[in-house]
Amino acid sequence: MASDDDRKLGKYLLQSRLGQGGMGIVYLATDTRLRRDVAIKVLPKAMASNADAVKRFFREARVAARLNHPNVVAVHDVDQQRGLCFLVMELVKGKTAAELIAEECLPWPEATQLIADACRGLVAAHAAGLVHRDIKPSNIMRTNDGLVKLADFGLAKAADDSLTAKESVTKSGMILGTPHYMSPEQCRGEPTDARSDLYSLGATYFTLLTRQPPYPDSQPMQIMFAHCSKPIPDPRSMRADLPVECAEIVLKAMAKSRADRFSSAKEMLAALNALLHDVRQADFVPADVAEVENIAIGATAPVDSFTSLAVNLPATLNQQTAGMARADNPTATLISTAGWLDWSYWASRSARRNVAIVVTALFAIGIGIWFWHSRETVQTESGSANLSNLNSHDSMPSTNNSRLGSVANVETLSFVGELPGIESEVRGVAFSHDGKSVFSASRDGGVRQWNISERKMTREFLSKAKDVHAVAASQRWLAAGGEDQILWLWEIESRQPAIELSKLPSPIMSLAISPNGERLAVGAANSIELYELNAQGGRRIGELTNSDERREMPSYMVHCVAFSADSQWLAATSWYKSVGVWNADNGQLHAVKREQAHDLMSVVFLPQPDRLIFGAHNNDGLFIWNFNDKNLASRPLKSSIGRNVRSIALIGSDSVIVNGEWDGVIRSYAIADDAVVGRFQQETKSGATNMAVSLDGRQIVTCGGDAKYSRGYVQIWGVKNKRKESSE
Amino acid sequence: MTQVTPKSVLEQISTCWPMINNPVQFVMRYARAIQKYVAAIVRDPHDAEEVAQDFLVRVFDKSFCPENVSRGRFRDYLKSAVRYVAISHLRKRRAVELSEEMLAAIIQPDSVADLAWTQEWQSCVLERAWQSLELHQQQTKDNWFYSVLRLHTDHPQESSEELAIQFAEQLGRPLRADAFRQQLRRARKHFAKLIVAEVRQTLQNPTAQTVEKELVDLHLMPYVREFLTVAD
Repeated sequence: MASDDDRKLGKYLLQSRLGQGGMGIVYLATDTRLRRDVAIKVLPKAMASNADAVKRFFREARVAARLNHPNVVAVHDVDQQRGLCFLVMELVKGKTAAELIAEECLPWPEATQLIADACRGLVAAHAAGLVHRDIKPSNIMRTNDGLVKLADFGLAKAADDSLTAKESVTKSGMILGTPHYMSPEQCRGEPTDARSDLYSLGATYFTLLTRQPPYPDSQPMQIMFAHCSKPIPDPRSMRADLPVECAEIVLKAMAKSRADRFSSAKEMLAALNALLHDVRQADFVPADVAEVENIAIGATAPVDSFTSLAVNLPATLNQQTAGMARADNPTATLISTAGWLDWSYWASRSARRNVAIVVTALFAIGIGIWFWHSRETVQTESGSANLSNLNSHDSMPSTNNSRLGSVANVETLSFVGELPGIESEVRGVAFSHDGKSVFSASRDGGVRQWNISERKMTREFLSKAKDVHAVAASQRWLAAGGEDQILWLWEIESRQPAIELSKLPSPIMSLAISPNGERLAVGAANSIELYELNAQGGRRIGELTNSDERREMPSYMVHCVAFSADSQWLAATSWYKSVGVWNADNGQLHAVKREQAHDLMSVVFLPQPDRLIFGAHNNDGLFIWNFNDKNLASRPLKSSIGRNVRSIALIGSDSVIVNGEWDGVIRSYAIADDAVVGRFQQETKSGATNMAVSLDGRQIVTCGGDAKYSRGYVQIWGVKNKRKESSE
Repeated sequence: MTQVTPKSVLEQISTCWPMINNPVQFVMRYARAIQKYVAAIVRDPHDAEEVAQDFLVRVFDKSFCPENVSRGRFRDYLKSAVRYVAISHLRKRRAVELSEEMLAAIIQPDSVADLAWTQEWQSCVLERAWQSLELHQQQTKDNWFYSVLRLHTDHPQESSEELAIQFAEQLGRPLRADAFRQQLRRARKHFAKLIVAEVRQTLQNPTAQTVEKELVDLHLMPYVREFLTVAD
């Protein structure tokens, strides 16, 4: 056994090894003068041998030592003995956040509280001029007393200085620890500031909520590339019970550009506190019901009386208790058995648990069980559908949208059937004017007409063209186009050969015919064109521009074009982050909006004058925009739309059907309520590439497929209006 | 056409573009452009992700073979490397052979992918310049270049009188419109310098002519034209 002299570092006697990380080895030690236990981190030799790094380490450690905050691990001393650099810190007995989530999934309020406490530590550190630079779950500790503390201040920069620039990035997996929480600017080797810590804290929050890092690749390069370029993941895509506010905080903290993040730790803390405050003031709408299905159950006397009891509870709880989500509608008070179990579980974990909480939790469980029966029906109905088990006319399981109060028309979908024998991905669909047929455009080069009731193909307009991406129909004309850049036109009833209306300079991505049948809009890979439809076929009016004065950028990947109901306006969305509105009569640009952070793939006009909704193909869901008020910013809609909005359609006057590409869920969204009121799982997980609504609004058709594996589908859905039905 | 041996690629970046002392960080700096370019070629978000990953693996392993490195621009070099990986992916994935016409559509200078690449690269240069301007403000006492230019960019329709009032509120002290205009001009001049500095880093032998050409190609001239003689 080593002698005391061997184990001595100055006045500290090393007792045992506690652990090892990228920044060195941590020992349990005794301060022989003050006779107290401390933790000593002995830094790697590579760092100790670099004079500049040592100098910076001492400087930062001294600043950290001045920091006296309950949410920061105290630094007692810093020294260099026997050629070793070491840091003497307060001994924290507890677990790191990484260990906590390794054991079990944290309820979101608990994760939020952990992050809020860590953020409180950051506020103090940033005020002292310290940037952490290595915030991650293993650097956030919760003591056995329930206190949260940030560890390892000042180490990352010093360690970084001891490496060459190339090493610090390419070998980060080995030297600097995980790149899972690095900000984009760190990945690019640029200077960091306080907002870099907020990015890492946001990424840590994501991990605490979902038990996996935001970009779970295994290769450091790929992770860093993702931090720099990939859309910010929405934690709700992995855990649907999370309230939208959790996701909003993650998305803002992890914005690629520092200017788009919280401006300070203080601001982020305010957002976290607001969420926790809402929890404490909650109307006890459990997250799983409010968010997953957004289904309200009629408020009954027991619910109200229970709610009033529960609302009073938070006053007796400390800030680490309660596990309820906020209600969208205060009158729609709900109780979820799962939510209450979650709450009681968490309350019992709280450091300052009290008997009242446990008693109340047990009472809640009782009430939850009492409610179980009433909720059972909903759970059954909202389960995802297995289409393979359905006969063509079987009713699709759908959500029960019996919401409380005067909710706008609520649309729900029922599965009608799938068109048979489709082997290739279908990119475009359109209803015939009478709603009895559907036209499809496929990657196999086919443009086909299908009879809906008989579910069979009745005509093949094209069969051997290159990938056909888009199709549009009016009472008289059918238009299609795709990879070969040719704009095809058929007179549907005449059975005459196709007219090659034009050859565009790039592949055709989207098509629309105005409701009055007089205009045809073409969205291509690098242009938007407008055509007049007339008795002879069509005439090109011209190319539309979407350039504004400040940034002369051409159109790019125009995935969607759409006309307003009065045929006056034409809108187009470009994957290059812009949406434009033109006068459909003369093609003059009316308004254009650039959305820097969003790849836009879908747009639909609303019945209200001057309003349209567009969807972003990253995490940001839907935006509503008044295109006649140029000073008015587009407004992101608050409800959980899911990620990667690929296609949208308007049903009736106040419902939008939305498809998120990556989760394969079709959502029914009520504009008036800003709420998702129904979710319908498709068979495919890749989502619908496109959708169309019949003229009478009673049917929608979705299409898509998998380009890699040569599978495709076209599904027909019936639209039911719950309010109308209930009144009928 | 110059063939590059796989092993030499990363070393060549360091050699040819001496200002780029860390090619990996540089790839990260233009990651968005790479992603957009790949997406424009393969046109499928999932495929694009696979190609980007494949490209990074090859960068990491130093085993990709771009076909053209003769033009002296890091941008072109990187583009040809990305394109090589994307086309290889398309060849593997597509059930049908890639026709010459389809290949030409990808390679031609004004192709959709090319436009996407240029636009996103420009966006990355501008973002980098904004970041540097903000850092300059943070590190320089009584400097408001970033705030002034940001305010002007965010409110392009507002007059300098209106902007001066807004900025005075931020500053907490009165500011005349002509003083605001002077600050704005200085900010734009510094911004132009930062753009030029970023562009220079990506050129093998940056001269006034090659820098200017790159600025034109990236549609960056409107930002720097007024100050070019000074900035360069």
